Amino acid sequence: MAAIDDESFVNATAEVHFGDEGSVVIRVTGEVDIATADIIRQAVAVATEPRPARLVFDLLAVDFIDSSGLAVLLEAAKTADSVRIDPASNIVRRVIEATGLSEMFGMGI
Amino acid sequence: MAPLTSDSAGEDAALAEADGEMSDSGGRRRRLVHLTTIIVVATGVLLTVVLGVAVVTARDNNEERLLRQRTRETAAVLTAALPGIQTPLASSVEVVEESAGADQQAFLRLLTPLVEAGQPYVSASLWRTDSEGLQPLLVIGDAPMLASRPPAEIQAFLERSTAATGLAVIGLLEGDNPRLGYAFASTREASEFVAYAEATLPANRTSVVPSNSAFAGLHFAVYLGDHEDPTQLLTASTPDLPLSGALASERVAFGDTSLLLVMTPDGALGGALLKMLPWLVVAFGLVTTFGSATLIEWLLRRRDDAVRLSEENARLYANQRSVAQTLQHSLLPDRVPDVAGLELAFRYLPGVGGVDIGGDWYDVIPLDDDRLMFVVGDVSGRGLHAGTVMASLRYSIRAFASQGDMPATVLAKLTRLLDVAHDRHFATVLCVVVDIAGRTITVANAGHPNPIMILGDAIHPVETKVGVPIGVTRDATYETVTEAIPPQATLLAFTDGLFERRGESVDDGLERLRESARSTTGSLDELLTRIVDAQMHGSSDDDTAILGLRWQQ
Repeated sequence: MAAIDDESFVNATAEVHFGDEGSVVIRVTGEVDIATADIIRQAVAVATEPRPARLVFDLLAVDFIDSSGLAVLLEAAKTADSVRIDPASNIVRRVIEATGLSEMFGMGI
Repeated sequence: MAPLTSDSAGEDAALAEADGEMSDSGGRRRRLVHLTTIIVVATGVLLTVVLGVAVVTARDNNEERLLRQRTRETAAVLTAALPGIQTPLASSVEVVEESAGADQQAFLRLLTPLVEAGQPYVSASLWRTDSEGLQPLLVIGDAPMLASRPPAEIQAFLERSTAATGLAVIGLLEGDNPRLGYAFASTREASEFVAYAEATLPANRTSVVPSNSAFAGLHFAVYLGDHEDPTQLLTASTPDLPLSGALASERVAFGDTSLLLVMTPDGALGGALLKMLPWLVVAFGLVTTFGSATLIEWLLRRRDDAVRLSEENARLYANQRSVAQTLQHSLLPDRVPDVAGLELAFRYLPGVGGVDIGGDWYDVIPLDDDRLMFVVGDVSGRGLHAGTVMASLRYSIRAFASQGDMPATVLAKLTRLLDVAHDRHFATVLCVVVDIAGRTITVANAGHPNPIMILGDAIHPVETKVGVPIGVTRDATYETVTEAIPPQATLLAFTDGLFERRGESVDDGLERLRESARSTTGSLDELLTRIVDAQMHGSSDDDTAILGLRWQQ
């Protein structure tokens, strides 16, 4: 497990869990915005070297996500064979749905 | 047309204010020396002077005390030395008196060794009182100078010596080489004999004190009598008389008169260090004072520099923010075209706090007499790169529109121009074609918030087929929805900054919007102002673009 923690004033964390059979889970907490996007981006870099078969974002503990945060998830989507968000907080779910990305992140309506 | 925003005037004011602060700081910079430094110097110098005076006083007290002590010691030495010149005279005259003048050899025996070069006396003589007065019986050494004095004076002196119980001092006998004469008579009743001796004074009445003597470092003068009479000077350590400076004196009994010892220090009795101490204290004090003053001045100037730098940074920040906003404004249309039959208005509101350019935009593109296209979009993130992505998307849409592409095609072409994996930005875009005569809109949506329709007190979302945002997948396709717009309705398209807040649900934001949009009286421009005021109360950190459209009544 690798962890990339927040700096004291940055309100987000990202943990990378390597699972069986090429699946990697990135667990994110806090606010994912322009200030914290790089934390997630670093976690994704750790998780996708080498390219995993399945990348899963655990966003249950995410309180806020903006377009910069969404951009990181979309960047990550290109680095794995399949990408899912599971589970997701209501806020994340609403943003994903509103931007037409539910299908891309395996979040059936 | 509506003003773009009212903020640019505020920015100018902020800039002017920053400039004002700069010139203030310029005033501080020109100050020669800080008041604090001057106070430090003044305090330091004052303390140094006070300390110097205190040390001088203490040193002088010490010197005075030492001088008095040394003078008393010298007087004691002098007192102890005097019997050495009295005793032989006293002893010999007692022996002669005892034998009633028979043993005059005793006088010779006792005094002859004392009347030689290097000895106290140059002349000693024995006198006897008879019916004719005092007559010299024996003389050792030189003839007494006393003998050359008038007989009455000789008589008076020798009578005084017989009357005295101890030594009688005649005083200085003037001559080429002045002599001090003194006499001793027996202490018996009706004594007949008087022993008399004369001593010379040192050459020039000056004694040289050896440097290793207990009296080294002192000047002294010894006078016969009780005051500093130059004619009565017996000896002194210096020809420079009377002594001056710090003085101490002691009287020493000498027969029927006295000696006056006057002393003054030659240099410092307490040593060279003690003498220099006040200067050392003053020098140390001044060096410390000016050293700390220099340090303080240096620190104060550093602080001034830091203040000036921060002011300059504030100004540059304001400047940069202004530049970012100016650039953003230049990338957005400052007016929308007049379209017959339609009322159009827009707002662009920069988010607070950031200096970065935002990625929100809006555009209105007339297609022909009956139709126009309007676009509201939002590039993710902020900064110059987001701004350039925004500009390229905006102008690409204009190009596609001029080729006759309809919304779904525009978005499908647009998404190939951007790749989030490469550009780190994606965009949500709402592309709408308005059929003015037909009162319909045809909408394609790439991940963007749905537009809303305000009709009376009600707010209806305009449901669209939401496709993936621009830049996510190259082969994305989009579907359009065509909706009829009722005559009284106002259509609002916006970016998510309008009612997205941290820690607040979208429903709360929509409710606020509903409240502010309730009254449909007044122009579209007034409506937008009302909505913006309500939504921006407690400002958003995100940029917001709003486009409003309604059919003219």
